[in-house]
Amino acid sequence: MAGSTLTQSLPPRVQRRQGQLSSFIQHSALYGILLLGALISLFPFYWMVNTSLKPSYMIFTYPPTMLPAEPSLNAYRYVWETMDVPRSLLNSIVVSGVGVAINVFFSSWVGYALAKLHFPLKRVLFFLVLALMILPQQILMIPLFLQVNRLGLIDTFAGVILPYAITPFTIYLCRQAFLTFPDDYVDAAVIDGAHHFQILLRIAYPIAKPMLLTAVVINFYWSWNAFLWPFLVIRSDEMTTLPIALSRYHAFADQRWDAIMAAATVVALPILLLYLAVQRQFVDALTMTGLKG
Amino acid sequence: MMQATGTEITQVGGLSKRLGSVRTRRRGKWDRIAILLVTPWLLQLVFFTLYPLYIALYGSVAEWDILKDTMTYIGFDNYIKLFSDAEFFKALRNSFVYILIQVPASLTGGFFVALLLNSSSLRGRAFFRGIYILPVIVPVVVMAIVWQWMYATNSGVINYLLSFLGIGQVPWLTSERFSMPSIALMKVWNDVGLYAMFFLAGLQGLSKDVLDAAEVDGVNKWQMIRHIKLPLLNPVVVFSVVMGTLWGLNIFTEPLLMTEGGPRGSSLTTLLYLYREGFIWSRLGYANAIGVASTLIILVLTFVQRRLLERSSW
Repeated sequence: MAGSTLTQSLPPRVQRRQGQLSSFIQHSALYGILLLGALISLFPFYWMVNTSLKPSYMIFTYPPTMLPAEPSLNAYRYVWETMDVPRSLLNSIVVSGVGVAINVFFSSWVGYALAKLHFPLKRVLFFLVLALMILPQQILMIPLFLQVNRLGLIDTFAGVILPYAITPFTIYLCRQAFLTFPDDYVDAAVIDGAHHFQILLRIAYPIAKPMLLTAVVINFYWSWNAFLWPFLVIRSDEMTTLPIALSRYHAFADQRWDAIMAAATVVALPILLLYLAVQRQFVDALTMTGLKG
Repeated sequence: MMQATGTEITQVGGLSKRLGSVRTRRRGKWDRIAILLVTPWLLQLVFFTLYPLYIALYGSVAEWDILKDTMTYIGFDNYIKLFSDAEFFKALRNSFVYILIQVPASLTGGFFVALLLNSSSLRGRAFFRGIYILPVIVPVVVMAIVWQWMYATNSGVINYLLSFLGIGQVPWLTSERFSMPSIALMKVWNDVGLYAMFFLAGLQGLSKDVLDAAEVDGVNKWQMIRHIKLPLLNPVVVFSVVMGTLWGLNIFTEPLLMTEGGPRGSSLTTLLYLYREGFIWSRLGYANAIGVASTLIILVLTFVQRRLLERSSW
């Protein structure tokens, strides 16, 4: 700012050069700060992998080696022998896959009813959806656990999935998606003799596809990374999802940080790969959760 | 609000107008199919939300016997006990320490990153955005454990890097003074990218006309941010503060894995306390009262925040 009076009195060519210089500095600063931020964001990931590649006797050596001096896959071998990774991966896939399918399938029904149909108590139900979206889960923790216990669902997939099978947020997303096309489409189809399930399948789903995809991604992400509820419901090692398995491994492999970091890397990998594959949808989905309010 | 689009279109064409009137003629009748469509949700709602909610509220004024599966009304004993429970207030205090550090820091960081990512001359925006969001993508468990390892006092990499700045060994997770701020700091790292995403979406939605007009009026960069962009982004700020507070009061996994609430309860949170009372000590009635009380606190707090922030002119 202080330079602006100065530049005005200088000949044009010098002005331009100075403008280029200051924009060069601004540019460098911009990229410099962003790169630094990127480094900070990535460093814990790097440290996780770096530690996992160290031989176990080098874990506590000080100063720590910033690059793996003698990289070894021993930690991974140890994790493979002591932690049932495929089983947990399978459990995670089942819990998240089935959970998301149920959620989006039935939520879209409710969303459709709330967006396009007329029926008594519709406003009450919609109010309930909104209210439940902001209800903190703490209040349900104990009673929900007792309820699942009473139904005999402790340590089962159903116990993990069902209490959060149809979520108000997904209903809300679906309703918003179905509101984007006019009621006339529905009316016209009804006049042509179409059933509402046909309308849902042939008209509503295709139109709302991007939003439904967002719902799938965000729910999968939540369900895949969920900790508290599965942590309470899952008892046996055979039933653990990846995050629960890792938390148990953390206690089991006490202080063997090479192995713990190897396990952490393995647990982080599937969702990271998925993220790389559908990065756009992930960013959209995460942003969406920010814009709903 | 969005239904307006529907009616507008109805008014445009003659055909659609006629179809629109079909609906009005059928007023009084309603779509029976709706019952079928909402039933699965209602079942789940009754079994896993409404009934448990009733149990939570009634249970907080009752004495529980799990073995006999009975509840007897005892009035407000649980709450009286709760409000004279130093441990509960410690947990509340810890949660507030966390929120006071984590929410402002990650919001400011996120806003700053969003401004940088929004610069028109920036190339590789998607690349940077992709990296900044990475910490949010992986399970919380992973990063809690990695940070616990990085925070290690004697062999941790953070203290090693700080030693170059002449900073001695900081007992990040092992001292009462630092344990909660350390967890908050880790979560700042975790959430900056997420808030940046919120703000970036907000910035990209700002009206070009307004920004251009301001520029023509000779507004400098700082004034632009402070007096134009920030006020226009107030909805995003309100949402982020409220969500950040909500998430902050629900913090559980990080203290459980990184410090187990210690040392000496210095990183105990309300949810961790609830878990401990209910699932370790099997004091279900009391744990439930903790849940109800902290839920009320969360609701009041976020309501007040919303009110204050929505009105405030920046």
